Amino acid sequence: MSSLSSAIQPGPGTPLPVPRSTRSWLQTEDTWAILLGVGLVLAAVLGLISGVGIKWLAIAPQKWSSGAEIGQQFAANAGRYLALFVFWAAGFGVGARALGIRVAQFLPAFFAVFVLSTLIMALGAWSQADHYNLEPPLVALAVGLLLSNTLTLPRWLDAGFRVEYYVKTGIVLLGATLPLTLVLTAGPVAIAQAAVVSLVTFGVIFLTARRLGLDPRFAATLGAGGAVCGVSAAIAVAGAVGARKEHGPIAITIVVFWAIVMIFLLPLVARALTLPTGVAGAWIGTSEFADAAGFAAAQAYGGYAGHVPGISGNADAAVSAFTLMKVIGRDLWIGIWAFVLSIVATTRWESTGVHTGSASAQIWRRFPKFVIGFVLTSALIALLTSLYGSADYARVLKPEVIAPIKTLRTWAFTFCFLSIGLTTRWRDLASAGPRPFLAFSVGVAVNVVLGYLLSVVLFGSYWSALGAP
Amino acid sequence: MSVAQPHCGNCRAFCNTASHLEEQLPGLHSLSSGYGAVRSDDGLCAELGRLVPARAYCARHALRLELSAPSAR
Repeated sequence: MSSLSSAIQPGPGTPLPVPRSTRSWLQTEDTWAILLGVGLVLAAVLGLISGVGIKWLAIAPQKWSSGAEIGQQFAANAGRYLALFVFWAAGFGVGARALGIRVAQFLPAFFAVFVLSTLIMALGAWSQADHYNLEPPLVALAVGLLLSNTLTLPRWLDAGFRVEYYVKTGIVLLGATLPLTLVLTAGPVAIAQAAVVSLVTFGVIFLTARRLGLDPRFAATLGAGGAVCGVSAAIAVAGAVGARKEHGPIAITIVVFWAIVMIFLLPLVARALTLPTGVAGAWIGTSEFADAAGFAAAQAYGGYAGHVPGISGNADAAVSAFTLMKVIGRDLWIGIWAFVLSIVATTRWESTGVHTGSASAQIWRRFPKFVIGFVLTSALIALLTSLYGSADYARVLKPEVIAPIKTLRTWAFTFCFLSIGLTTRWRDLASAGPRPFLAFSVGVAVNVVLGYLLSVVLFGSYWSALGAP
Repeated sequence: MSVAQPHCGNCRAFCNTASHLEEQLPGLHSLSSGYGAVRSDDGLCAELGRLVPARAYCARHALRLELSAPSAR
Protein backbone atom coordinates (compact mmCIF):
# COMPACT_ATOMS: atom_id res chain seq x y z
CA MET A 1 0.00 0.00 0.00
CA SER A 2 3.04 2.21 0.11
CA SER A 3 2.30 3.79 -3.23
CA LEU A 4 -1.05 4.85 -1.95
CA SER A 5 -0.08 5.90 1.52
CA SER A 6 -0.29 9.58 0.74
CA ALA A 7 -3.74 9.32 -0.72
CA ILE A 8 -6.76 10.80 0.94
CA GLN A 9 -8.57 8.20 3.00
CA PRO A 10 -12.21 9.23 3.15
CA GLY A 11 -14.25 8.48 6.23
CA PRO A 12 -17.73 7.03 6.27
CA GLY A 13 -20.21 9.25 4.48
CA THR A 14 -17.54 11.49 3.01
CA PRO A 15 -18.94 13.09 -0.15
CA LEU A 16 -17.23 11.56 -3.14
CA PRO A 17 -18.05 11.81 -6.79
CA VAL A 18 -19.95 8.91 -8.25
CA PRO A 19 -17.45 6.74 -10.14
CA ARG A 20 -16.68 8.29 -13.49
CA SER A 21 -15.25 5.07 -14.77
CA THR A 22 -18.68 3.78 -15.72
CA ARG A 23 -18.59 3.65 -19.48
CA SER A 24 -21.17 5.46 -21.52
CA TRP A 25 -22.99 3.54 -24.24
CA LEU A 26 -20.93 5.39 -26.83
CA GLN A 27 -17.79 3.79 -25.44
CA THR A 28 -18.64 0.25 -26.47
CA GLU A 29 -18.15 -1.20 -29.91
CA ASP A 30 -21.56 -2.87 -29.58
CA THR A 31 -23.16 0.55 -29.97
CA TRP A 32 -21.17 1.41 -33.07
CA ALA A 33 -21.78 -1.98 -34.62
CA ILE A 34 -25.52 -1.45 -34.10
CA LEU A 35 -25.43 2.07 -35.55
CA LEU A 36 -23.46 0.98 -38.60
CA GLY A 37 -25.38 -2.24 -39.21
CA VAL A 38 -28.87 -0.89 -38.60
CA GLY A 39 -27.97 2.28 -40.53
CA LEU A 40 -26.94 0.17 -43.52
CA VAL A 41 -30.16 -1.84 -43.45
CA LEU A 42 -32.21 1.34 -43.13
CA ALA A 43 -30.30 2.82 -46.06
CA ALA A 44 -31.07 -0.28 -48.10
CA VAL A 45 -34.76 -0.04 -47.24
CA LEU A 46 -34.98 3.69 -47.90
CA GLY A 47 -33.01 3.16 -51.09
CA LEU A 48 -35.64 0.73 -52.27
CA ILE A 49 -38.26 3.42 -51.84
CA SER A 50 -36.24 6.28 -53.29
CA GLY A 51 -34.58 4.28 -56.04
CA VAL A 52 -31.04 4.97 -54.77
CA GLY A 53 -30.13 1.78 -52.95
CA ILE A 54 -26.90 0.30 -51.66
CA LYS A 55 -26.64 -2.21 -54.48
CA TRP A 56 -24.02 -0.16 -56.31
CA LEU A 57 -21.86 -0.03 -53.20
CA ALA A 58 -22.10 -3.76 -52.49
CA ILE A 59 -19.42 -4.90 -54.90
CA ALA A 60 -17.49 -8.16 -54.55
CA PRO A 61 -15.32 -10.27 -56.86
CA GLN A 62 -17.35 -12.56 -59.15
CA LYS A 63 -16.37 -15.96 -60.52
CA TRP A 64 -13.24 -15.86 -62.66
CA SER A 65 -10.92 -18.38 -64.23
CA SER A 66 -7.99 -16.39 -65.59
CA GLY A 67 -5.82 -13.54 -64.36
CA ALA A 68 -7.00 -11.36 -67.21
CA GLU A 69 -10.60 -11.92 -66.19
CA ILE A 70 -10.20 -10.86 -62.58
CA GLY A 71 -8.00 -7.98 -63.70
CA GLN A 72 -10.78 -6.77 -65.95
CA GLN A 73 -13.25 -7.05 -63.09
CA PHE A 74 -11.12 -4.84 -60.86
CA ALA A 75 -10.43 -2.34 -63.63
CA ALA A 76 -14.09 -2.05 -64.55
CA ASN A 77 -15.17 -1.61 -60.92
CA ALA A 78 -12.27 0.37 -59.47
CA GLY A 79 -14.53 3.29 -58.56
CA ARG A 80 -16.96 1.01 -56.71
CA TYR A 81 -14.16 -0.66 -54.74
CA LEU A 82 -12.78 2.76 -53.84
CA ALA A 83 -16.24 3.91 -52.74
CA LEU A 84 -16.65 0.74 -50.69
CA PHE A 85 -13.32 1.33 -48.96
CA VAL A 86 -14.25 4.94 -48.20
CA PHE A 87 -17.61 3.81 -46.87
CA TRP A 88 -16.18 1.15 -44.54
CA ALA A 89 -13.27 3.37 -43.46
CA ALA A 90 -15.66 6.19 -42.59
CA GLY A 91 -18.23 3.91 -40.95
CA PHE A 92 -15.76 2.02 -38.80
CA GLY A 93 -13.52 5.07 -38.38
CA VAL A 94 -16.21 7.19 -36.73
CA GLY A 95 -16.84 4.45 -34.20
CA ALA A 96 -13.13 3.88 -33.66
CA ARG A 97 -12.63 7.54 -32.91
CA ALA A 98 -15.48 7.55 -30.41
CA LEU A 99 -13.95 4.52 -28.73
CA GLY A 100 -10.68 6.38 -28.31
CA ILE A 101 -8.76 4.55 -31.02
CA ARG A 102 -6.44 6.89 -32.93
CA VAL A 103 -7.88 7.40 -36.41
CA ALA A 104 -4.40 8.11 -37.79
CA GLN A 105 -3.49 4.56 -36.79
CA PHE A 106 -6.83 2.97 -37.57
CA LEU A 107 -7.05 4.11 -41.20
CA PRO A 108 -3.76 2.76 -42.58
CA ALA A 109 -4.28 -0.49 -40.69
CA PHE A 110 -7.81 -0.78 -42.02
CA PHE A 111 -6.55 -0.06 -45.53
CA ALA A 112 -4.27 -3.09 -45.21
CA VAL A 113 -7.19 -5.19 -43.93
CA PHE A 114 -9.38 -4.03 -46.83
CA VAL A 115 -6.77 -4.77 -49.51
CA LEU A 116 -5.98 -8.21 -48.10
CA SER A 117 -9.69 -8.99 -47.74
CA THR A 118 -10.25 -8.01 -51.38
CA LEU A 119 -7.51 -10.38 -52.48
CA ILE A 120 -8.86 -13.20 -50.30
CA MET A 121 -12.41 -12.73 -51.61
CA ALA A 122 -11.03 -12.72 -55.16
CA LEU A 123 -9.21 -15.96 -54.43
CA GLY A 124 -12.46 -17.44 -53.12
CA ALA A 125 -14.16 -16.51 -56.42
CA TRP A 126 -11.54 -18.35 -58.47
CA SER A 127 -13.08 -21.21 -60.46
CA GLN A 128 -10.53 -23.64 -58.98
CA ALA A 129 -10.95 -22.47 -55.38
CA ASP A 130 -13.22 -25.40 -54.49
CA HIS A 131 -10.80 -27.85 -56.00
CA TYR A 132 -8.03 -26.60 -53.71
CA ASN A 133 -10.36 -26.11 -50.69
CA LEU A 134 -9.63 -22.39 -50.62
CA GLU A 135 -12.53 -21.39 -48.40
CA PRO A 136 -12.19 -17.61 -47.89
CA PRO A 137 -12.75 -17.64 -44.08
CA LEU A 138 -10.05 -20.25 -43.56
CA VAL A 139 -7.71 -18.59 -46.05
CA ALA A 140 -8.19 -15.23 -44.29
CA LEU A 141 -7.42 -16.81 -40.95
CA ALA A 142 -4.38 -18.69 -42.26
CA VAL A 143 -2.99 -15.61 -44.03
CA GLY A 144 -3.44 -13.52 -40.88
CA LEU A 145 -1.79 -16.16 -38.69
CA LEU A 146 1.11 -16.49 -41.12
CA LEU A 147 1.72 -12.74 -41.29
CA SER A 148 1.46 -12.08 -37.57
CA ASN A 149 3.62 -15.03 -36.55
CA THR A 150 6.38 -14.74 -39.14
CA LEU A 151 6.70 -10.97 -39.44
CA THR A 152 7.07 -8.36 -36.75
CA LEU A 153 4.09 -6.17 -37.50
CA PRO A 154 4.11 -2.72 -35.86
CA ARG A 155 1.88 -2.73 -32.77
CA TRP A 156 0.01 0.36 -33.85
CA LEU A 157 -1.53 -1.67 -36.69
CA ASP A 158 -3.67 -3.39 -34.06
CA ALA A 159 -5.79 -0.23 -34.15
CA GLY A 160 -7.34 -1.55 -37.37
CA PHE A 161 -7.42 -5.26 -36.48
CA ARG A 162 -10.67 -5.03 -34.53
CA VAL A 163 -12.03 -8.59 -34.56
CA GLU A 164 -15.03 -7.92 -32.33
CA TYR A 165 -16.03 -4.66 -33.97
CA TYR A 166 -16.16 -6.34 -37.37
CA VAL A 167 -17.90 -9.51 -36.24
CA LYS A 168 -20.55 -7.60 -34.31
CA THR A 169 -21.27 -5.44 -37.35
CA GLY A 170 -21.49 -8.62 -39.43
CA ILE A 171 -23.92 -10.16 -36.94
CA VAL A 172 -26.16 -7.08 -37.00
CA LEU A 173 -26.22 -7.30 -40.82
CA LEU A 174 -26.84 -11.02 -40.55
CA GLY A 175 -30.08 -10.26 -38.71
CA ALA A 176 -31.48 -8.76 -41.93
CA THR A 177 -30.94 -12.05 -43.74
CA LEU A 178 -32.30 -14.28 -40.98
CA PRO A 179 -36.11 -14.36 -40.86
CA LEU A 180 -37.52 -13.14 -37.56
CA THR A 181 -39.87 -16.12 -37.53
CA LEU A 182 -36.85 -18.42 -37.58
CA VAL A 183 -35.30 -16.57 -34.65
CA LEU A 184 -38.55 -16.86 -32.70
CA THR A 185 -39.31 -20.49 -33.54
CA ALA A 186 -35.81 -21.95 -33.45
CA GLY A 187 -34.63 -19.77 -30.58
CA PRO A 188 -36.16 -21.91 -27.81
CA VAL A 189 -34.64 -25.12 -29.24
CA ALA A 190 -31.27 -23.41 -29.48
CA ILE A 191 -31.57 -22.11 -25.93
CA ALA A 192 -32.53 -25.54 -24.58
CA GLN A 193 -29.64 -27.28 -26.37
CA ALA A 194 -27.17 -24.58 -25.41
CA ALA A 195 -28.32 -24.62 -21.79
CA VAL A 196 -27.56 -28.33 -21.46
CA VAL A 197 -24.15 -28.03 -23.09
CA SER A 198 -23.20 -24.83 -21.26
CA LEU A 199 -24.11 -26.17 -17.82
CA VAL A 200 -22.34 -29.49 -18.37
CA THR A 201 -19.24 -27.88 -19.90
CA PHE A 202 -18.96 -25.32 -17.12
CA GLY A 203 -19.45 -28.00 -14.49
CA VAL A 204 -16.81 -30.29 -15.99
CA ILE A 205 -14.19 -27.54 -16.34
CA PHE A 206 -14.91 -26.05 -12.93
CA LEU A 207 -14.87 -29.36 -11.05
CA THR A 208 -11.80 -30.63 -12.89
CA ALA A 209 -9.97 -27.39 -12.17
CA ARG A 210 -10.93 -27.56 -8.51
CA ARG A 211 -9.86 -31.21 -8.37
CA LEU A 212 -6.51 -30.12 -9.78
CA GLY A 213 -6.18 -27.58 -6.98
CA LEU A 214 -6.94 -24.37 -8.88
CA ASP A 215 -8.46 -21.34 -7.18
CA PRO A 216 -12.29 -21.30 -7.50
CA ARG A 217 -12.31 -17.84 -9.15
CA PHE A 218 -9.82 -19.07 -11.73
CA ALA A 219 -11.84 -22.26 -12.21
CA ALA A 220 -14.98 -20.17 -12.81
CA THR A 221 -13.12 -17.97 -15.30
CA LEU A 222 -11.99 -21.03 -17.25
CA GLY A 223 -15.44 -22.61 -17.05
CA ALA A 224 -17.18 -19.53 -18.42
CA GLY A 225 -14.65 -19.31 -21.24
CA GLY A 226 -15.51 -22.84 -22.30
CA ALA A 227 -19.23 -22.76 -21.66
CA VAL A 228 -20.51 -19.36 -22.71
CA CYS A 229 -18.76 -17.04 -25.14
CA GLY A 230 -15.04 -17.67 -24.98
CA VAL A 231 -12.63 -14.90 -24.08
CA SER A 232 -15.42 -12.36 -23.53
CA ALA A 233 -17.16 -14.62 -21.01
CA ALA A 234 -13.91 -15.47 -19.27
CA ILE A 235 -13.06 -11.81 -18.74
CA ALA A 236 -16.62 -10.87 -17.77
CA VAL A 237 -16.75 -13.59 -15.12
CA ALA A 238 -13.19 -12.84 -13.98
CA GLY A 239 -14.30 -9.27 -13.27
CA ALA A 240 -17.57 -10.31 -11.64
CA VAL A 241 -15.86 -12.66 -9.18
CA GLY A 242 -12.68 -10.62 -8.69
CA ALA A 243 -10.21 -13.10 -10.21
CA ARG A 244 -6.48 -12.51 -10.09
CA LYS A 245 -5.09 -10.49 -12.97
CA GLU A 246 -2.72 -13.23 -14.18
CA HIS A 247 -5.57 -15.70 -14.48
CA GLY A 248 -7.18 -13.65 -17.27
CA PRO A 249 -4.33 -14.04 -19.78
CA ILE A 250 -4.02 -17.76 -18.99
CA ALA A 251 -7.71 -18.28 -19.71
CA ILE A 252 -7.35 -16.20 -22.88
CA THR A 253 -4.42 -18.32 -24.10
CA ILE A 254 -6.29 -21.58 -23.61
CA VAL A 255 -9.54 -20.33 -25.16
CA VAL A 256 -7.73 -18.85 -28.18
CA PHE A 257 -5.77 -22.07 -28.68
CA TRP A 258 -8.85 -24.29 -28.68
CA ALA A 259 -10.94 -21.80 -30.67
CA ILE A 260 -8.35 -21.75 -33.46
CA VAL A 261 -8.07 -25.55 -33.41
CA MET A 262 -11.87 -25.87 -33.64
CA ILE A 263 -12.10 -23.47 -36.59
CA PHE A 264 -10.26 -26.07 -38.66
CA LEU A 265 -11.22 -29.28 -36.84
CA LEU A 266 -15.03 -28.99 -36.63
CA PRO A 267 -15.60 -28.31 -40.36
CA LEU A 268 -13.10 -31.06 -41.19
CA VAL A 269 -14.85 -33.69 -39.05
CA ALA A 270 -18.32 -32.52 -40.08
CA ARG A 271 -17.24 -32.78 -43.72
CA ALA A 272 -15.92 -36.30 -43.20
CA LEU A 273 -19.29 -37.20 -41.70
CA THR A 274 -21.07 -35.33 -44.56
CA LEU A 275 -23.32 -33.56 -42.07
CA PRO A 276 -26.03 -31.30 -43.53
CA THR A 277 -25.07 -27.62 -43.33
CA GLY A 278 -27.69 -26.79 -40.71
CA VAL A 279 -26.60 -29.66 -38.47
CA ALA A 280 -22.93 -28.75 -38.77
CA GLY A 281 -23.75 -25.11 -38.02
CA ALA A 282 -25.59 -26.14 -34.84
CA TRP A 283 -22.68 -28.34 -33.77
CA ILE A 284 -20.19 -25.55 -34.40
CA GLY A 285 -22.45 -23.16 -32.47
CA THR A 286 -22.50 -25.59 -29.56
CA SER A 287 -18.82 -26.50 -29.51
CA GLU A 288 -16.87 -23.47 -30.76
CA PHE A 289 -15.73 -21.02 -28.09
CA ALA A 290 -15.88 -17.58 -29.67
CA ASP A 291 -18.30 -15.88 -32.04
CA ALA A 292 -15.67 -14.74 -34.50
CA ALA A 293 -14.00 -18.16 -34.62
CA GLY A 294 -17.34 -19.92 -34.97
CA PHE A 295 -18.48 -17.73 -37.83
CA ALA A 296 -15.25 -18.59 -39.67
CA ALA A 297 -15.93 -22.31 -39.20
CA ALA A 298 -19.66 -22.08 -40.03
CA GLN A 299 -19.15 -19.92 -43.10
CA ALA A 300 -16.39 -22.21 -44.34
CA TYR A 301 -18.67 -25.23 -43.92
CA GLY A 302 -21.55 -23.44 -45.62
CA GLY A 303 -19.25 -23.04 -48.61
CA TYR A 304 -19.20 -26.83 -49.02
CA ALA A 305 -22.93 -26.87 -49.86
CA GLY A 306 -23.36 -27.71 -53.52
CA HIS A 307 -19.63 -28.32 -53.95
CA VAL A 308 -18.84 -31.32 -51.77
CA PRO A 309 -20.78 -34.49 -52.66
CA GLY A 310 -23.05 -35.71 -49.89
CA ILE A 311 -23.36 -32.44 -48.00
CA SER A 312 -26.97 -31.32 -48.16
CA GLY A 313 -28.50 -27.97 -47.25
CA ASN A 314 -27.57 -24.50 -48.35
CA ALA A 315 -24.72 -22.19 -47.40
CA ASP A 316 -26.89 -19.91 -45.27
CA ALA A 317 -28.14 -22.77 -43.09
CA ALA A 318 -24.73 -23.31 -41.48
CA VAL A 319 -24.41 -19.66 -40.51
CA SER A 320 -28.08 -19.43 -39.42
CA ALA A 321 -27.89 -22.51 -37.19
CA PHE A 322 -24.57 -21.35 -35.76
CA THR A 323 -26.00 -17.90 -34.99
CA LEU A 324 -29.06 -19.33 -33.28
CA MET A 325 -26.99 -21.69 -31.16
CA LYS A 326 -24.13 -19.38 -30.29
CA VAL A 327 -25.60 -15.89 -30.18
CA ILE A 328 -29.15 -16.66 -29.01
CA GLY A 329 -28.43 -19.90 -27.16
CA ARG A 330 -25.19 -19.00 -25.37
CA ASP A 331 -24.03 -15.37 -25.64
CA LEU A 332 -27.25 -13.81 -24.38
CA TRP A 333 -26.85 -15.38 -20.96
CA ILE A 334 -23.43 -14.05 -19.96
CA GLY A 335 -24.95 -11.48 -17.59
CA ILE A 336 -26.83 -14.19 -15.71
CA TRP A 337 -23.70 -16.35 -15.47
CA ALA A 338 -21.75 -13.38 -14.09
CA PHE A 339 -24.55 -12.51 -11.66
CA VAL A 340 -24.91 -16.04 -10.29
CA LEU A 341 -21.15 -16.58 -10.01
CA SER A 342 -20.69 -13.24 -8.26
CA ILE A 343 -23.21 -14.38 -5.64
CA VAL A 344 -21.36 -17.67 -5.21
CA ALA A 345 -18.04 -15.81 -4.99
CA THR A 346 -19.22 -13.46 -2.26
CA THR A 347 -21.09 -16.06 -0.22
CA ARG A 348 -19.16 -19.31 -0.70
CA TRP A 349 -15.55 -18.62 -1.59
CA GLU A 350 -12.76 -17.29 0.56
CA SER A 351 -12.78 -13.50 0.72
CA THR A 352 -10.19 -11.60 -1.32
CA GLY A 353 -10.69 -8.38 0.63
CA VAL A 354 -12.52 -6.84 -2.31
CA HIS A 355 -16.27 -6.55 -2.05
CA THR A 356 -17.20 -7.17 -5.65
CA GLY A 357 -20.91 -7.19 -4.88
CA SER A 358 -23.55 -9.20 -6.70
CA ALA A 359 -25.91 -6.61 -8.13
CA SER A 360 -28.52 -7.99 -10.47
CA ALA A 361 -28.10 -4.84 -12.58
CA GLN A 362 -25.02 -6.45 -14.09
CA ILE A 363 -27.30 -8.80 -16.04
CA TRP A 364 -28.19 -5.82 -18.20
CA ARG A 365 -24.81 -4.10 -17.98
CA ARG A 366 -23.09 -7.20 -19.32
CA PHE A 367 -25.76 -7.97 -21.90
CA PRO A 368 -24.14 -8.26 -25.36
CA LYS A 369 -25.94 -5.24 -26.77
CA PHE A 370 -25.10 -5.96 -30.40
CA VAL A 371 -27.78 -8.68 -30.25
CA ILE A 372 -30.34 -5.85 -30.07
CA GLY A 373 -29.12 -4.69 -33.48
CA PHE A 374 -29.38 -8.25 -34.78
CA VAL A 375 -33.04 -8.49 -33.68
CA LEU A 376 -33.79 -4.97 -34.95
CA THR A 377 -32.56 -5.66 -38.49
CA SER A 378 -34.38 -8.99 -38.53
CA ALA A 379 -37.61 -7.28 -37.44
CA LEU A 380 -37.13 -4.48 -39.97
CA ILE A 381 -36.83 -6.89 -42.87
CA ALA A 382 -39.75 -8.98 -41.53
CA LEU A 383 -41.89 -5.85 -41.56
CA LEU A 384 -40.81 -5.00 -45.07
CA THR A 385 -41.47 -8.54 -46.27
CA SER A 386 -44.98 -8.45 -44.84
CA LEU A 387 -45.64 -5.23 -46.75
CA TYR A 388 -44.35 -6.59 -50.02
CA GLY A 389 -45.63 -10.17 -49.93
CA SER A 390 -43.72 -13.32 -50.79
CA ALA A 391 -43.82 -12.88 -54.58
CA ASP A 392 -42.27 -9.43 -54.45
CA TYR A 393 -39.77 -10.67 -51.86
CA ALA A 394 -38.09 -12.88 -54.46
CA ARG A 395 -38.50 -10.39 -57.30
CA VAL A 396 -37.67 -7.10 -55.58
CA LEU A 397 -36.50 -7.38 -51.98
CA LYS A 398 -34.04 -10.20 -52.45
CA PRO A 399 -31.96 -8.66 -55.25
CA GLU A 400 -32.31 -5.03 -54.16
CA VAL A 401 -32.02 -5.29 -50.38
CA ILE A 402 -31.09 -8.76 -49.08
CA ALA A 403 -28.34 -9.61 -51.59
CA PRO A 404 -26.41 -6.32 -51.12
CA ILE A 405 -26.66 -6.65 -47.33
CA LYS A 406 -25.37 -10.20 -47.60
CA THR A 407 -22.41 -9.00 -49.68
CA LEU A 408 -21.57 -6.29 -47.16
CA ARG A 409 -21.92 -8.83 -44.36
CA THR A 410 -19.38 -11.05 -46.12
CA TRP A 411 -16.96 -8.12 -46.21
CA ALA A 412 -17.40 -7.46 -42.48
CA PHE A 413 -16.82 -11.13 -41.66
CA THR A 414 -13.76 -11.30 -43.90
CA PHE A 415 -12.27 -8.27 -42.09
CA CYS A 416 -12.96 -10.17 -38.88
CA PHE A 417 -11.44 -13.51 -39.95
CA LEU A 418 -8.33 -11.81 -41.22
CA SER A 419 -8.04 -9.80 -38.00
CA ILE A 420 -8.28 -12.97 -35.89
CA GLY A 421 -5.13 -14.23 -37.57
CA LEU A 422 -3.41 -10.86 -37.49
CA THR A 423 -3.94 -10.48 -33.74
CA THR A 424 -3.19 -14.06 -32.71
CA ARG A 425 0.52 -13.92 -32.00
CA TRP A 426 1.43 -17.08 -30.17
CA ARG A 427 4.63 -15.58 -28.80
CA ASP A 428 2.66 -12.83 -27.04
CA LEU A 429 0.22 -15.12 -25.26
CA ALA A 430 0.72 -16.05 -21.64
CA SER A 431 2.04 -19.47 -20.73
CA ALA A 432 -0.94 -21.55 -19.69
CA GLY A 433 0.51 -24.27 -17.47
CA PRO A 434 -0.57 -27.91 -17.48
CA ARG A 435 -3.33 -27.85 -14.86
CA PRO A 436 -5.55 -25.12 -16.32
CA PHE A 437 -4.93 -26.48 -19.80
CA LEU A 438 -5.91 -29.99 -18.72
CA ALA A 439 -9.05 -28.78 -16.93
CA PHE A 440 -10.19 -26.81 -19.95
CA SER A 441 -9.31 -29.59 -22.37
CA VAL A 442 -11.42 -32.12 -20.46
CA GLY A 443 -14.31 -29.67 -20.86
CA VAL A 444 -13.57 -29.35 -24.57
CA ALA A 445 -13.74 -33.12 -25.03
CA VAL A 446 -17.07 -33.38 -23.20
CA ASN A 447 -18.42 -30.33 -25.01
CA VAL A 448 -17.58 -31.63 -28.48
CA VAL A 449 -19.09 -35.08 -27.87
CA LEU A 450 -22.20 -33.70 -26.18
CA GLY A 451 -22.56 -31.03 -28.87
CA TYR A 452 -22.40 -33.74 -31.53
CA LEU A 453 -25.01 -35.91 -29.78
CA LEU A 454 -27.44 -33.04 -29.36
CA SER A 455 -26.92 -31.44 -32.79
CA VAL A 456 -26.74 -34.63 -34.83
CA VAL A 457 -28.56 -37.36 -32.96
CA LEU A 458 -31.21 -35.65 -30.83
CA PHE A 459 -32.03 -32.51 -32.83
CA GLY A 460 -30.48 -33.56 -36.15
CA SER A 461 -33.74 -33.62 -38.11
CA TYR A 462 -34.62 -30.22 -36.70
CA TRP A 463 -31.35 -28.54 -37.67
CA SER A 464 -31.15 -30.22 -41.08
CA ALA A 465 -34.58 -28.79 -41.91
CA LEU A 466 -33.03 -25.30 -41.71
CA GLY A 467 -31.18 -25.92 -44.94
CA ALA A 468 -33.92 -27.80 -46.72
CA PRO A 469 -34.98 -26.34 -50.06
CA MET B 1 -21.91 16.41 -6.31
CA SER B 2 -23.66 13.36 -4.99
CA VAL B 3 -22.67 11.54 -1.83
CA ALA B 4 -21.11 8.16 -2.44
CA GLN B 5 -19.01 5.65 -0.60
CA PRO B 6 -15.56 4.83 -1.97
CA HIS B 7 -15.57 2.63 -5.03
CA CYS B 8 -12.85 1.06 -7.07
CA GLY B 9 -14.02 3.43 -9.81
CA ASN B 10 -12.64 6.42 -7.95
CA CYS B 11 -9.58 4.71 -6.52
CA ARG B 12 -6.06 5.56 -7.63
CA ALA B 13 -5.16 1.91 -8.07
CA PHE B 14 -7.98 1.21 -10.52
CA CYS B 15 -7.91 1.54 -14.29
CA ASN B 16 -10.51 0.29 -16.72
CA THR B 17 -9.72 1.92 -20.03
CA ALA B 18 -10.10 -0.53 -22.90
CA SER B 19 -6.59 0.13 -24.22
CA HIS B 20 -5.07 -0.48 -20.78
CA LEU B 21 -6.92 -3.77 -20.42
CA GLU B 22 -5.84 -4.90 -23.87
CA GLU B 23 -2.23 -4.09 -22.97
CA GLN B 24 -2.37 -5.84 -19.63
CA LEU B 25 -4.29 -8.91 -20.77
CA PRO B 26 -2.35 -10.31 -23.75
CA GLY B 27 -4.58 -11.85 -26.39
CA LEU B 28 -7.73 -10.07 -25.22
CA HIS B 29 -8.19 -8.36 -28.58
CA SER B 30 -7.62 -11.57 -30.54
CA LEU B 31 -11.02 -13.16 -30.02
CA SER B 32 -12.61 -10.51 -27.84
CA SER B 33 -12.04 -6.89 -27.01
CA GLY B 34 -11.61 -4.36 -24.27
CA TYR B 35 -14.32 -2.30 -25.93
CA GLY B 36 -17.15 -4.85 -25.62
CA ALA B 37 -20.26 -4.33 -23.51
CA VAL B 38 -19.96 -7.63 -21.65
CA ARG B 39 -17.06 -6.54 -19.49
CA SER B 40 -19.24 -3.70 -18.20
CA ASP B 41 -17.04 -1.24 -16.29
CA ASP B 42 -14.61 -3.81 -14.87
CA GLY B 43 -10.99 -2.82 -14.59
CA LEU B 44 -7.68 -3.81 -13.09
CA CYS B 45 -6.64 -3.02 -9.54
CA ALA B 46 -2.88 -2.41 -9.57
CA GLU B 47 -2.74 -2.69 -5.80
CA LEU B 48 -4.42 -6.05 -5.38
CA GLY B 49 -3.66 -7.46 -8.82
CA ARG B 50 -7.26 -8.36 -9.51
CA LEU B 51 -9.93 -7.74 -12.10
CA VAL B 52 -12.75 -5.99 -10.29
CA PRO B 53 -15.95 -4.09 -11.12
CA ALA B 54 -15.78 -0.29 -10.83
CA ARG B 55 -18.54 -0.55 -8.22
CA ALA B 56 -16.52 -2.84 -5.96
CA TYR B 57 -14.62 -1.51 -2.94
CA CYS B 58 -12.03 -2.57 -0.39
CA ALA B 59 -10.43 -1.31 2.80
CA ARG B 60 -7.37 -0.11 0.90
CA HIS B 61 -9.27 2.40 -1.20
CA ALA B 62 -7.36 5.57 -2.05
CA LEU B 63 -9.27 8.43 -3.62
CA ARG B 64 -8.06 9.50 -7.00
CA LEU B 65 -7.75 13.24 -7.25
CA GLU B 66 -7.59 13.64 -11.04
CA LEU B 67 -11.31 13.29 -11.42
CA SER B 68 -11.44 14.94 -14.81
CA ALA B 69 -10.06 11.80 -16.41
CA PRO B 70 -10.27 9.16 -13.72
CA SER B 71 -10.02 6.10 -15.89
CA ALA B 72 -7.25 7.27 -18.19
CA ARG B 73 -4.30 6.25 -16.07
